[in-house]
Amino acid sequence: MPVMLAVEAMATRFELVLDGGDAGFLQAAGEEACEIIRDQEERLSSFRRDSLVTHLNRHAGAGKMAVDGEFLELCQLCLEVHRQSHGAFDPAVGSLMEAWGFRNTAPQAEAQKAGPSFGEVELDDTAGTVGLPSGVQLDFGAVGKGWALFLAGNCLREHGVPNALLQGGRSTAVAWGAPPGQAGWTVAIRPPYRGQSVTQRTLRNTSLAVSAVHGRQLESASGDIGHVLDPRLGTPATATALAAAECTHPALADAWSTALLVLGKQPLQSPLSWSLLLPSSPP
Amino acid sequence: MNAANEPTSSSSHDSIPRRQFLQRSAGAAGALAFVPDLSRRRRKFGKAPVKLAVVGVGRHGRTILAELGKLNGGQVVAVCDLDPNRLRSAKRRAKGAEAFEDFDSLLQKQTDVEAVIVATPTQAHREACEKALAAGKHVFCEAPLVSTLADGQALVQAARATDKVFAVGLQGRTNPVYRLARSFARSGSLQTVVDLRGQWNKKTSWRVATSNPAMEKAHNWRLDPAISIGLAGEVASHQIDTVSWFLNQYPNRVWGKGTVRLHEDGRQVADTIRLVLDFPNGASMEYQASLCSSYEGSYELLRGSNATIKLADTFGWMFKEADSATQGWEVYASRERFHNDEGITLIADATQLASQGKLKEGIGLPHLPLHYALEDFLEAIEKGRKPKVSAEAGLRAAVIGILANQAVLSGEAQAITENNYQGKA
Repeated sequence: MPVMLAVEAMATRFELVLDGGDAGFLQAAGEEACEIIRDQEERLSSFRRDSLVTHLNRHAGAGKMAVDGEFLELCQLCLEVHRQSHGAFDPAVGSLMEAWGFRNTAPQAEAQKAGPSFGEVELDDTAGTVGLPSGVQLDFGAVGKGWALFLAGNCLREHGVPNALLQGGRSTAVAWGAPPGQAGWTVAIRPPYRGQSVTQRTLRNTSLAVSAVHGRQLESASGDIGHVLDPRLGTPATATALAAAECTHPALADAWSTALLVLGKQPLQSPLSWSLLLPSSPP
Repeated sequence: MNAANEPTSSSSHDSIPRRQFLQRSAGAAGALAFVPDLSRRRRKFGKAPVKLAVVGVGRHGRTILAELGKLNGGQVVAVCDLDPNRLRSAKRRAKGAEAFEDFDSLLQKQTDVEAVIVATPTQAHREACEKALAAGKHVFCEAPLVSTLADGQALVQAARATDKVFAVGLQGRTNPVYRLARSFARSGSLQTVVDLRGQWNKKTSWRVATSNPAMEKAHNWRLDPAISIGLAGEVASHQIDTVSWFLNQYPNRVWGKGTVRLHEDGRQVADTIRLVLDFPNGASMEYQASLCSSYEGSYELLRGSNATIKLADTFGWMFKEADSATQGWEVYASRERFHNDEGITLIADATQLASQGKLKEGIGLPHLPLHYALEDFLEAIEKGRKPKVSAEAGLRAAVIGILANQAVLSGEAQAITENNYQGKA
C-alpha cells in the first residue's frame, strides 16, 4: 500500500505519495522529506521575518552577505535560467511584486517598472557570499516549490524509496518509478478556459511544472492582474494563459514554466524535454 | 534564593529596579526598547572566522549549518556523521568542508579546527565533547547536554578543567525576545507567580528512516528505551529550563505520566506525556508534549497576578490584568487578540521599527532562535568571555529531563535534589 503524507508550506499544500517497501520506513522517510520542505520555506519565504531571503533583502545595497553553499547552488541554477530565458525568469522581481501589490501592500504605480535584474546580483561561490544591489528584493516564488521538491526527492531517493510522486501547490511535481502495474504517474493539466481539452502526462523519472496567470490575481481599475510579472517590462505577463514545462530537475521545470509564460514561446536553449503553451485568449 | 538556584548569567536589566525599568521603557518610541535594532544589524566579528567542525549533521545539524552560513564569524571546515547520505547533504550547505565518518579521524586530520559543534544523539554528547575539549577545542553542545547524571557530572568537570569556551544550546536563554520578556518578569511585572505552563505538540512518528539495517538502531536512538530520555528529556527539558531561568529557581519535584496514543509500532517510548513540576516558590508547572497532534504547537506560559507572559520561539506576548497599573508605554504597543485576551507583543527591536512605521511588520525575530545561540558562542570565543549558557546550566536542564523521564516511566513522583543538579544520584 502506498503511504501518503502532506505538509503545509509556502502558502500551499505539498503532498507525497510513496510506494514500495515497509510502511513504517516510507512514513519515516516521508516525514524527513516534509521537514526538508518546511525547512526550505523557512529559508526562502519572502513573507517570513526570520527567513534567509528576508535577511538578504533587508541588507540589499549593504555589501556581500555570507550564505551557505546550498543557497548559492540555488542562485546559480536561477542565474542559468535567467540567462537562457533572456531575463523572462528573474528572482530579483521582489520589488516589482511589491509595487504591484502582491506583498500585502498598496500598489505603487510609480515603481511599476523594470528594475535591476538577477544578473546584477553578485554571487561568489568561493567566498560564499551574495551581494544584492540597492533596491533588489529577491523572490523565489517561481522556483521555491521546485527547489524544495528537488531536495525532498533527493532525500527519498537516497533512502531508497523506489516509487514516488511529490507535488507542491498542484503546480509542481517530481516523480520516479511508478505505481504498481502502471507505466508512470499520470497527471492532468487543467486548461484555463472551458472547452479546451485536458492534457495528460505520465511522469516517470521526470518533473513537471505549470504556471498560469489565473493562479493568483489582484483586482485593479483596468481589470484583474495576474501574479506573474514580466521582469523585463515591469508589467503583468499577458502573452500566454498557461505554460507547462517538463525536465528532470523540478526546480528547473518550475523556473522554466514561469519563463515560458512570460516569453510566450520556448527559447532555442533550454533543458526542457516537453512543454505546453496555451494562448491568453479563449478559443 | 533556593539552594537549587544557579547564579544565572546576568542580563543588563536583571538588576534594574522595576520603577526605573518602566520609566526607561516609557521613554521609548513605541514600546519596549531595550534591545538594539536586530533586523538590520550585522554582527561584525573582528578576527578571522573561527574554523568549525560540526559533528552530527542530521536534521538539526543541517539547520545549524544554514545558520552558521549567515554568520561571518565562523567557517565550517569539517563535518562528521556516521551516515554518508547525511554527509552528502551537509556538504551541500557547507561547501568546501571535509567530510568524516569518524570523529577521531577528524580531530587527527583537521588540526586547525578551533571549535566543535556537537549535534550527535544525546547519549554520544559526552564522548564527543570530552574528545573535543581534550584536543583543545571550544565546544558548543546541543541540549539536552547528557542523558545520564554520571555523564553530566563528568562533562561539567571536563568543561571546568579547560579554559576553552563550553556552551550549551538552551536557546531560550539566548533568544532576544525571551531575554526581553525575562527582564519584565525579573523586574516584577508578573507580581505573584500563579502558575506555569508549557507544551510541545508535533505530529510526527519520531522515527528516522534508514535503508541500511546496520544503521537502524543508531538512527532511532530516541525510540530505544535503553538510552532514550523520551519527550521529557529531549523536548520538555528545554522549556522547563526557560521557565526555571525566568524564575531564577529550579523544580524540586516532578510527577509524570506517558502513553503510546497513536504510534503503535511496537515502541515503548511514550508518544504523549504529561508532567507536573513543583517549584520552591510554591508555583507549579503543568507540561504536556505529544507526537500525535500538532494542535497549538509549542509555547511556555508564566501566569502572574498582574500579568501573564506567553513565549513561542520567535514571539512573545504580555497579557496585563485589567487592574494592573498602567505604565504608559502600553498605549503605543503593538497588540494581538487571542480569543478573549489581548496580548501586548514583545518586540526586541521596537524603537527602530516604530521610527520606520513598521512596528506591525516587526513582530517576531529576524532569525531563528538557534542563530542567536551560535552567535553568542562565536562571540564568546572572539572576546574570551563566558557564553550565556554554561555547562552547569546545561547539566541542570538535563537533570530535569532525566528525572522527569524517570517519573514518566515509573508513574511515581521524583524528588529533584541539589545533589541531582550536581549530577549525583
